[in-house]
Amino acid sequence: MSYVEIRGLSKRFDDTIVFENIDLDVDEGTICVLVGPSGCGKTTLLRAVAGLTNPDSGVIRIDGRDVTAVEAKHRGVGMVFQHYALFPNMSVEQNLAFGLQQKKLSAAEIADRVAAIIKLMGLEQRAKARPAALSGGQRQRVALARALVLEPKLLLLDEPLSALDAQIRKRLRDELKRLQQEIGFTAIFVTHDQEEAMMLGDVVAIMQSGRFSQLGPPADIYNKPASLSVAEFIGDFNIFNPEAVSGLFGTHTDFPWAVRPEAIDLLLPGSKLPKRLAGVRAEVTIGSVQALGAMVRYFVRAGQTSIKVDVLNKAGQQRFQPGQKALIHIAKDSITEMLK
Amino acid sequence: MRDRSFRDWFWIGLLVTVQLLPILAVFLNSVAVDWAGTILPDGYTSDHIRNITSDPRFTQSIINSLIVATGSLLITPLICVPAILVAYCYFPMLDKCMAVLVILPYAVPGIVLALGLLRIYSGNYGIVLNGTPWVLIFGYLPLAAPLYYVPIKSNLRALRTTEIFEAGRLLGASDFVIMWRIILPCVKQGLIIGLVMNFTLAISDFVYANLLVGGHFPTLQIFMGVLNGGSGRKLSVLITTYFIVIFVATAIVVWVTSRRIDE
Amino acid sequence: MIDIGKRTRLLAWLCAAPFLAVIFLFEILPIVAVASNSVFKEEVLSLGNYAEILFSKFFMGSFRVSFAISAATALIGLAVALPAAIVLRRMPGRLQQFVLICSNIGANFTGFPLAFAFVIMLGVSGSFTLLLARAGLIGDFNVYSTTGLVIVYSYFQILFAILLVLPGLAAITPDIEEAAFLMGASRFAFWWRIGLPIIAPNLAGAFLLLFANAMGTYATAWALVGGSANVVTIRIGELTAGDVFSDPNLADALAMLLVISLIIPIVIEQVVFRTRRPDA
Repeated sequence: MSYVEIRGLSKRFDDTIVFENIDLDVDEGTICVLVGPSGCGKTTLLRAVAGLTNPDSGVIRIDGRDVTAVEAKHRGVGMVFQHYALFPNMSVEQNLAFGLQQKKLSAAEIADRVAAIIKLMGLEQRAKARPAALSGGQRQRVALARALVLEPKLLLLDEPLSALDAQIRKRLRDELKRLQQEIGFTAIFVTHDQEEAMMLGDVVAIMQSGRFSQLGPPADIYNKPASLSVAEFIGDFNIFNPEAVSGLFGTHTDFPWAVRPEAIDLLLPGSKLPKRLAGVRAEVTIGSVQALGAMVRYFVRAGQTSIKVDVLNKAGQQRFQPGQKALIHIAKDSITEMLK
Repeated sequence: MRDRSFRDWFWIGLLVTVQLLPILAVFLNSVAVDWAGTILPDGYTSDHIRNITSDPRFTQSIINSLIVATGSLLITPLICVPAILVAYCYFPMLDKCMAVLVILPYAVPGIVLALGLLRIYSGNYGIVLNGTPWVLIFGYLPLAAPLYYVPIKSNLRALRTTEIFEAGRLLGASDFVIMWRIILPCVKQGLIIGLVMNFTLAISDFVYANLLVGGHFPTLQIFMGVLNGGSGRKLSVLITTYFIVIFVATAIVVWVTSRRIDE
Repeated sequence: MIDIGKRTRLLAWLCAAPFLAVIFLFEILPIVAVASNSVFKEEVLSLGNYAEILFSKFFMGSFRVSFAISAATALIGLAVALPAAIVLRRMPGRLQQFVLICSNIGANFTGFPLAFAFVIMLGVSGSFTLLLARAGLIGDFNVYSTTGLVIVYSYFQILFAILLVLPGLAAITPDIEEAAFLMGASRFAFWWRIGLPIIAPNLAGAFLLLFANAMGTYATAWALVGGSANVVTIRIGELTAGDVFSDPNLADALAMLLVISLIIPIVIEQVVFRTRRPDA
């Protein structure tokens, strides 16, 4: 039995299904990321786990205890909100102490635990400040600390990084991962940003229109999208429909192919490839070139099809020029057939 | 640019001066020896001030006004503020009704409401409140409610109340604790503005006081009415006193609101 | 809205209950009492009171005077407050706050204090009367008149108008202004073609509240002119408390007509413009 167990959870608002028949397992000490476009039901699912929304049917178990009918404050979950939800009239310290005071702990113990979490989160300088005086990143760190100080069985994070600007978002994301590995808390993290999901999740659930369209380790989702819609959501895939496949590669397929741009090798025309390397090849013309930092992206054309190819941007490596002829090769392992 | 800003200051200065002129006039009159047929008083004296403070009606009217104002300040916020908070947080329909109550005093002038109170609380229905301060204390409540509602609501709008409640509940707090320890402190500024405006209303009202309690319980404004028509010196002192009180109240509001800007 | 359980819901309603009770007893019920009393004449159900007012030259005259004073002072209020607010908006935030609060207090400065202050300045031997007479600007001016009422009302109307207009000006952001000036609009053209249309609904709402405010003014008129002012509120007061003219039911009918004349435009304004409530 897993640490967090969700079985057959459904919720509708009036006639619209928010999510239906959701099953989800989260192991202790791992982060499960729910990622999907806005309106896919991920936030409502998270709120149902928190006890802020009542599901219509289904069961939620946390650490072996059925909490489906338990009030939010007795579930032992902590939550971090997109807009921090800090109490504006209280200092950082007071915000952190609030939950402990509700547990009727002794003043001395509260002071100890608040001091410890302030140190852990690196908030020593801002302990007496009001939320209004903090930067967005600091506010979210306080919100995280406020949830963690209660040592929740399960931490829920609702798009906690979405309101921050790109740089802070990245830094806080790394910090969160490090913190999780240090303390080992269990978390469900909701986001609409696939990069964030891939980076943070031990397990990633892609949620689309109220269902999981794929659930698994990030590497699997990245390399083997289960459906065309997942591939589209993850983005950047080259999709070859069956006609293109037979036209370009002379191979028959009943289903479209999805291939990641970095899985395509770009070679000089006439290059010899070892026979044992299974795969397909086609002749192309270089269209345009973009330098993306670590990668160089080529847009190449073959007949009517435009293909994205990413190549590592190594110094001294020969670059292809627009208009130049080239050869692409796709290894068999890199081709995912889109069964749906 | 410098030019235009000078002109701006000139116009605002003029506006404020005109605003202050009547007050200045009353003050000069209260310390004037004789002021008739001249542009400025002939001389200045504090006789009128001593004169009026020895008048028992003066002290009585101030005490009466303070009784009404204190009663109103104790009862009105106690009744209005919880209702405003629960309406905003839990009952949006009730909140919409309250928004209507804000404009109602414009559609139904004080004199009309006073007329209605006169009909109901004069004993025709077994309740006699008229002639007592109670009718004023409770009668002012509907007029004072918007004075609390508007600034408190603007404080509430700046909060994400839903998230605060959710976060508070997940931290184990009851709704009462969240209201008392988070929401109420966050609307403190609006509450203080409401209290000062409520006080101003209670000591400035003439309509209710005149029609509902009149000579039974003469307030400051009633006493002003009594003095009206005499030399005006005593009245001037009375009005100046009233202004000073109002200015102190205003200063409190300025202080409270400007503190917010600094933060 | 925040989800709540049954118990919390009950407790929350209990918190709101005293407020609703007081509003009912001291606002709704009095209006109902006035309305129901107004349709009784000599203890018989009839519309006789209304007929008496509508066919009385005297009472209709009081409505005419009240309307005229209210419309005039509402317009004067807006005419002074709008430019003042436009200038004020360019001022530092603290000064704006300060003027707003002063206006708030000033707008409540009515009744005897206000009337008396104006008598000192503009009475028969008031300093301003003397100044203006010496300058040859006024012949025989009498503050105890309809003109006097207009001047005195204008004082609190202007301050009230500033309170009503200033929040609405926030809709005209500096970038709108700059965009217009970059396209070559003059200041006048900007306000006439862009500024005013943006705040028109707001101004309409402000006008109605100012109008209603003046229509409902009793204390100031009573303090300045006493019973001799033929405005509706004075007539109501006289019919209620007067020794000679007392006729409570007629007073109620007059009060109801006053309310009706105020409610109709306010409701129309709310429906047509759906402006936000003034934050005053």
